[in-house]
Amino acid sequence: MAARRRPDEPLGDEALLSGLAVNDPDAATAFVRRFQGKVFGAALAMTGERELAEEVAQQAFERAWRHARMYDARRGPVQAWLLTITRNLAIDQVRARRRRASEGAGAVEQLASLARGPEMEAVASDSGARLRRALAALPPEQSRALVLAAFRGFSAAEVAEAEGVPLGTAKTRLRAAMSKLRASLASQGVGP
Amino acid sequence: MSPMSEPMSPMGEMDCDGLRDSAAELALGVLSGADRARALMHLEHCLDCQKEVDSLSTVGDALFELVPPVEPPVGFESRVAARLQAPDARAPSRSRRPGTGPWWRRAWVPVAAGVALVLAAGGGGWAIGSSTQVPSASPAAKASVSWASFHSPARRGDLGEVFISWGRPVWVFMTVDLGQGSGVVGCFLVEQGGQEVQVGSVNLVRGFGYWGAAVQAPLWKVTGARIVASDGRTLATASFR
Repeated sequence: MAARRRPDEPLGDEALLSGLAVNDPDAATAFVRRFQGKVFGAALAMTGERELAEEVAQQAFERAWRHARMYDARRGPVQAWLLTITRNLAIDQVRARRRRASEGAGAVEQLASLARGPEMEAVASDSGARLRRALAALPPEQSRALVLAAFRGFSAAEVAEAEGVPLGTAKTRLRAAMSKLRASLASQGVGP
Repeated sequence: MSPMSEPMSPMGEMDCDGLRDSAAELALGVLSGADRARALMHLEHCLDCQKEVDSLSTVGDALFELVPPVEPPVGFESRVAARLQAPDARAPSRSRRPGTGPWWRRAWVPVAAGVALVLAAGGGGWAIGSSTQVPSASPAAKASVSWASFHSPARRGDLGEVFISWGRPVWVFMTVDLGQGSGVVGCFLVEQGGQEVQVGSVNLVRGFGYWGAAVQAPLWKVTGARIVASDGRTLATASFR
């Protein structure tokens, strides 16, 4: 017999997304309230501008609403799906802007901040703490390559140009960084 | 071929070595243009490489989970609500044809669906160095690629690129940088004889934007492409030679 939700028990993420898909206003409101901090935070981390981050975050919720029926729970949790949408939209924006302004400044500081993380989160999430440790252990050149790609939308060729290294070196650094993080996740049973 | 391009098989598809070199970029959504298209061609049939990209995508997801939440500006929730209630908010996406599938970057539908992986990172500089052939889209057409630059009498130099992968389905990618202007513009393919097929539209931000999707409409001897403003003005044209 299926377990029933208590009246005071909040709806799950997937249930809210289903409500969003069928234009349930209460579900839509709850969905936005639940995820707006993470979505706006991710958008802000990538764009560095609150105004632009809000536009990205609004677009992300609009896209989530439009494509809610396409969500496949087998691929991952709702939050990860929503953050993927956010990242893609933010990459569009930072790439368009980068054509006019030099970017990349602050990349190392951003990674250091991520690696430290809020103390509360580090305590609350063991998996997050382990990933942070893996981030902190990356060699500086791999850290920069990773942050430039993940948070500034740089391709390996653009990383190579920014760092003054050959394309192959930039690709190697990026791949090495990602592989190390993957290993840290694998050791905690995350990932395929 | 551009020196920045990845190794390709004779049909334009990236091979396993090239894919492994580019898997991290693909997983993070930053592999651009032609390399992305060729990587996706490869992923359609290579399970090992699909697994590699999937596992690295998990890393990208986990990385973003570390970003702490930030309270958005006051009124954010109501502005989102207004956006969702707009009359045309749920119309078919401006950036794709109806029925061509979701457009976000990757992996929420099977990789073989292709389109889901294609779009988000295209960006500037699709690096196919020279055009290949004027295709005839017969049912037996192989996954060759066509490429051309956008130009305009109003501005000097290249204004972007159009790239067609003649597989099943046909994928079309366009990137434009007009230097200025924002708003939605139409993306058309021009067939021999002058007929035009609108394959999508793109929202330009300060003159820059890109678009791509699988195209379901039958195409016949495509000779060029055209970017058209909402008022019907031609902003840029490209010719496949």
